[in-house]
Amino acid sequence: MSLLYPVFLWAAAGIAAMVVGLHMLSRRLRRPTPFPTARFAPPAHAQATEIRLQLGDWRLMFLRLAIVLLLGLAFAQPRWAPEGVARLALIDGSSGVARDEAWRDALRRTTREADAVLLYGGAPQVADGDSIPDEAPLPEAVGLLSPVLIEALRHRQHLLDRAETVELTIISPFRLAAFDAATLEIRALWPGPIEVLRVLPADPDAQSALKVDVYWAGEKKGLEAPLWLPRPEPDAQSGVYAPIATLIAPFERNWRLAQPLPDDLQVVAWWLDGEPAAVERLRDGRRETWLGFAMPEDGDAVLRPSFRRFLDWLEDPWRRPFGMAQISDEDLRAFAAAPAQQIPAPIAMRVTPLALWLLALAILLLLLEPLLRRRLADRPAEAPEAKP
Amino acid sequence: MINPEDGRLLEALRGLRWRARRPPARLVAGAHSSRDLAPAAELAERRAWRQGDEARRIDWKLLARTDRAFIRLAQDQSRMTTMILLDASASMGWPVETLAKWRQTGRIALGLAEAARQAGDPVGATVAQATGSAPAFLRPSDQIAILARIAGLLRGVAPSGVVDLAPFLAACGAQRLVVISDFLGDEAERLPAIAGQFRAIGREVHAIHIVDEAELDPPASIVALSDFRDPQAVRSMDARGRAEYRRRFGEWRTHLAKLWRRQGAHYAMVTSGEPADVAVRRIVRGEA
Repeated sequence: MSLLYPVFLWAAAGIAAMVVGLHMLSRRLRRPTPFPTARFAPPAHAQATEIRLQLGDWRLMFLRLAIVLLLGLAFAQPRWAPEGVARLALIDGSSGVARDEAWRDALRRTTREADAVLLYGGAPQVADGDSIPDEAPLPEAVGLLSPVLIEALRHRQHLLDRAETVELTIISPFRLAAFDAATLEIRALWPGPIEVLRVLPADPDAQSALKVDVYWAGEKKGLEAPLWLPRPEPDAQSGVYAPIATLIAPFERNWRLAQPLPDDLQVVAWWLDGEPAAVERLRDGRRETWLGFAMPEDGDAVLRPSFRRFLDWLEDPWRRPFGMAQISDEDLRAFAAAPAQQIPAPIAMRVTPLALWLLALAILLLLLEPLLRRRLADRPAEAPEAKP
Repeated sequence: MINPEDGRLLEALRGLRWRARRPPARLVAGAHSSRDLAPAAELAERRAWRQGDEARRIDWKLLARTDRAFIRLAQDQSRMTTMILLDASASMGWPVETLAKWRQTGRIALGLAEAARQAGDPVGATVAQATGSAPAFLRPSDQIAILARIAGLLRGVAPSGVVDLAPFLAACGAQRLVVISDFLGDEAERLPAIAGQFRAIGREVHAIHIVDEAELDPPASIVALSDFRDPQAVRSMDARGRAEYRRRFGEWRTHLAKLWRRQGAHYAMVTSGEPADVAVRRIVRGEA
């Protein structure tokens, strides 16, 4: 048998020790001392006898100890320790996954071995481990990892009732967009390594060049609604950050991005103060990029390698929109490896059946305590133990 | 057998002689001045010869001068038999852990016996024990061995039960009676009256009241008391109860001392912590 939350039992043991200590102290203080000249002292009040009885009686002490320890044990959640390994599979079912034969093979093998399967790419769905999930793609283009990892942590707690450890397998193309700022922290909550199976992304245009349109300095072409709005007071900025390069030059910032941003647009460059500086979208084999700045005309900034790299990146017809690319194998291995520093999982109270019985027993004893106290109070006081 | 502690006590009391408070009636020649004048070699006065007087006491020279028969009288020295009565009731065995009251009782008894013996008086002892216990009595003797016998007697006694001192006191036939007790028995009020009867026939009575220091000022750790004789009755020792206890106990001791003194007895209180030699000297000097 093991305890889910042993700290409660330790706390109960501490309280029990205090109960015993108080009892001993009270017994020592309150036990009538046989005294030759006791006749000269006034008779004791009934209250003194009552206090002595409340704290000094062994039966009451054992009853109170039983209550405290049962409560501690109940909160500690005892359970019979399971053995073996449970397997949990997370399958990216978003429309961004290519449903080829390799994907099906991985799916069959994993679902056959898994004790629980979570299909994600929309709201995470629980699939039976003996059946293959529906092959129909889920609505989202990219299966986000953070929500499904949180769901996996919840399932892990349930699986731990049946197995000693839980192994996790994720089947996904692992696009960059599947990761957000919280993904790595959430992943660190999962103890141990994660098995990752990379499948191909569904990208019909992956092997063909895109048509590229780049609109500079607030141009409004191709958009139904204005994207860039003139700033009331233009200011100067010293740089723009993009994934491919950081541009350092005396830029003049005249535009700001209109809010809200349409769903199909993604920010691909930022001013150094964090404000979006460029957005783009992929639609019908065409990649359109809108820039909120103009290239500096003064000086030789445009001749610098960083600017040239940025311009090449902008014009590259083979480049996929930001986030649709897959993370590197090295980054994926780092993601799958056991976290160097385990982040303690947040405490989520669970109740085991045995704990409920213990809790019921403790409550029953708790109800008996005043009855026993009253019964003992009605009896005559005990004779002192030591008689000269 | 005298243990080292008793040995030190006796050493401290060397030379102490317990003089009679008043001249006793002449019984046996001893160290105390008798109330009676008896024919003796040391002349005190003369009286006319009466029939029955020994002829050898006649002052022949005076007879030759005056032609009248006188006998020589001198101040006789009498011995004062001392009997020590010790109370071995349960309350004298308190505190149970240290037997402080009983040990002090033994030391006082031994010291007084030595003081009496050094005055040339025979000393005996009686331990008043609860009904059913073997009698513990030592016949008076002026031999030094009596001290070891008293010490041995007291070592063999464990205070217990309820003891009525009155019959023991009444049975004592010595010239000087010493009662060592805490006087917590029910008969405590009757004892001075018995002592008064002894005083009426010229005997000397000493009441030595043994009190433990904890009885005078109960420790703060004690918050409830139970009586030896009635354990069911719990008594409070909170702040109010403590003050009340001190007041009542003090009044009772004063009352007890008055009872004894009113009957002509000498009353002295000895605490268990007082050095025994100091207490013995105080008693022998007749101080309270």
